[in-house]
Amino acid sequence: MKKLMMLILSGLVAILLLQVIGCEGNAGKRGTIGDPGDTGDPYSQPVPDNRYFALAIGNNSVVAHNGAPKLYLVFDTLHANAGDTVVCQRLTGSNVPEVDGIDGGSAEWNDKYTDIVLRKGALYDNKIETARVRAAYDENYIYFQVKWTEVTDSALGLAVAEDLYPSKWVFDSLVAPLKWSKVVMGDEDRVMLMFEITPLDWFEHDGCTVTCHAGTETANIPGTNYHSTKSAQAKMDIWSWSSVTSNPTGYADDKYMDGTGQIPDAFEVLKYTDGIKGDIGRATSMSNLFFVYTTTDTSAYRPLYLSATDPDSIATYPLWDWQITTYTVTGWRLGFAVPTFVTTVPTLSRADIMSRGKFDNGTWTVEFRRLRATGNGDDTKF
Amino acid sequence: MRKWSFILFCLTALAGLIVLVGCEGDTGLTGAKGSKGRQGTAGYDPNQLPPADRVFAFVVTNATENAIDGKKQVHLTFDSTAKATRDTVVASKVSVPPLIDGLDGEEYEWGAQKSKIALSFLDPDSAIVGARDSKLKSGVVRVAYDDDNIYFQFQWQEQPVKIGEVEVASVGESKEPSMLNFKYKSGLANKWVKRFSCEAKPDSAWDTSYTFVRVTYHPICVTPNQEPCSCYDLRPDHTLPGYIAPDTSYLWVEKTGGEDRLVVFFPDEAAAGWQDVAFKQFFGFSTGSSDIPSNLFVDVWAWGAARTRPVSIADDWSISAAGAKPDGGQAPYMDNYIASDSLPRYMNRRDPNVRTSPGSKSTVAIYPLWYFDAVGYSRFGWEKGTDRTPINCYLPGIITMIPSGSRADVYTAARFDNGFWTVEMKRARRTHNGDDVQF
Repeated sequence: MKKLMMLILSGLVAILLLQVIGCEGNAGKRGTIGDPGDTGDPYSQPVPDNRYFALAIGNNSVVAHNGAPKLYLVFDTLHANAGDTVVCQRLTGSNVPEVDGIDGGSAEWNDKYTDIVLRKGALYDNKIETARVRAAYDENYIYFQVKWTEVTDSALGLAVAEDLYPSKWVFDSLVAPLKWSKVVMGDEDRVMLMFEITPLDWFEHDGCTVTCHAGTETANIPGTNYHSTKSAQAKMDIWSWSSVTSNPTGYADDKYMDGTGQIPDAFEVLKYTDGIKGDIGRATSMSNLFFVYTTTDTSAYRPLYLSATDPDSIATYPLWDWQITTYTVTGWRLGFAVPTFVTTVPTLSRADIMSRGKFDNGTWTVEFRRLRATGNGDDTKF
Repeated sequence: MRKWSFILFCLTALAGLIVLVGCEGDTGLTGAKGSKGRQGTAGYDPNQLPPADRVFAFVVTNATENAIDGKKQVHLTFDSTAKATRDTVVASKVSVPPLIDGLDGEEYEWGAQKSKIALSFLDPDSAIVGARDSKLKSGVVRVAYDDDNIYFQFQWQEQPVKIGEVEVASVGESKEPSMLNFKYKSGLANKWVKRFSCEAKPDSAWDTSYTFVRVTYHPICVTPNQEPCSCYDLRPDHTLPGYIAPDTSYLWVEKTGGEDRLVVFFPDEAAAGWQDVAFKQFFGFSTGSSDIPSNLFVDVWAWGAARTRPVSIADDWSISAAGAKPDGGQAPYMDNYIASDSLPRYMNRRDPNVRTSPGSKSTVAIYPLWYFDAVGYSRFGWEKGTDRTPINCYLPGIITMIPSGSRADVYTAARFDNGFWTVEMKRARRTHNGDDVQF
């Protein structure tokens, strides 16, 4: 019996052994390699952050500018054009707005816009109550279009006009001592866009009004009659388009504001009185002004240049720097006139903003284009 | 026991035999297709990578061409963990670019890293006559960068430059280089200009009383050995019979001295001794290519208080085996001097005598003279003064132009305040110009 048990046991051990070490069948063939993963997303510049900005519009007056001190510029898809919100739409493909002052409408801008309600921004009202604002961006550039219609108001001296003759030098033999008087017919038509470069206190609440009457020529003392930010570090970018001094060049005058006094500007004979400064580079115009100090310490003025082709006409603008010639003392007749400034091609950071405006039947259309990141400390970055 | 061992042996052998000769199982099924790979990583902007570390040198001058002080080798690193030292500048990554205005925005604009660098007299060639130390002993360098641009700030304090006890360059902006000067030599009333042929020895016939005047003789006066040569009298009130006024031109001379300058050198590959070659080539102490390594390339950013400051641009040059040459494009200035004729090309449209020495006119600035204010030089109408009070008349030695092309790559603004210069520069990291180094 024992033997039998042992035999069975041995048999079971052998079977177990066979189970353990017996050959398995071959593994099946390796499955085919899975499909490659999708290509990673291409690099794209990050979508700019939503931000506030300001708009001001002038009609032949430097002091009467209506505007919207605080607008909301959004780059996301959560907002719609309405109220004070301007959607900056992402452009796809190669179609970009042409900066020509001609409203390309839906073909250029997808017909998305915001009609902004304007309000009196300073002491005087120019009665322009609405402006249409469009904005778009692509990989490298940001674009704006501002469109408004001028208003006539004889009581306020407002007229619908392109305003291409802001002032002129007029020869008058009775004016001592240099026999020239500067006749100011008005100002220019203007539009300004303002953005924070670095944070400004309360800009998100009050917009650009935080810079009104905020400083003096050399310091920031609230309540005084100078435009300024509250500190040297607080900087605001200013895109300043004007119908005469910038429009012929195809550029807006690129400026900025901070809380320090005015840096002397080689292209402005008379210094500014506030914290607004030109960006580095040459401006879109320079004063046509020669002044001398007489023995009584009274300043006397006359033009510095004349037009080579039009020396004695009605002060035709633009007078380009390549058209000017030397001022001559003699040969003037009563009423001869020359322009009060000379148009120049801007350079460097002062020429960052391409801009062109067109006046059509009482309506201005002004378009801007600028690099999203210029790399200049006097410019905002989108 | 043996029996059991034998049985166990047999069973083991049987098992081994089965293992060896037993049939394999069936081949398994083909495996399932692998799962799809993961999506690749998102693309990146190569601009967001920090630039590669490099070396550079910089030189400052104080209104003297032969006196250059500076630092021959400065390490520029973009490693934010490094610490600025006296020979290592650490670039800070900034989100808001520094304002290039010549005003020191300090840490707020440039980040916390600042290198105080000892300057020394860089004698590019000991054989240079008049080479002297401009005594500029220390400078401060800051560097910042972002995705697209790189920014530099240099500061230094000026010291007077002296030869012995004579001060040849004072502390100041030195923005009137190569000024052209005209002045009658004293003794005007008592001198006669003598005709070349009036003298027995023609070689000695130049009348040195009028070194600033070129006289073109009237043909009738060219008669040998006839004295007196009254027809050569320059005095305007000369009333002698037969007097024929000679045609005179005022000769202008270049005032010696230079301008305050900052020149930054970036070698593409920092081979040993590149600085001496670059300095010699750029400052004109040596020209030609025989001593220049064939693979040398140095980008040069040259700022000058007069030549480039008005246009807010540094003059962009490069040095290669062919020597120093400006980058492609219009220069920020042009010379206003015809050396062979000792005459200016242009003058201010308000000339003659925008700046002459007497009275209030002496304070009128003549720099910059912009191209649109320049008119062709005329020799008429310049004030001469009297024998006792000769008048100095001045014209600028350069005309300021609008630069363009690769020559206008480097934005620069500078300010001079209480003896200190602050010069700030900005350039695109990649200009896509072959005559620039890329960051």
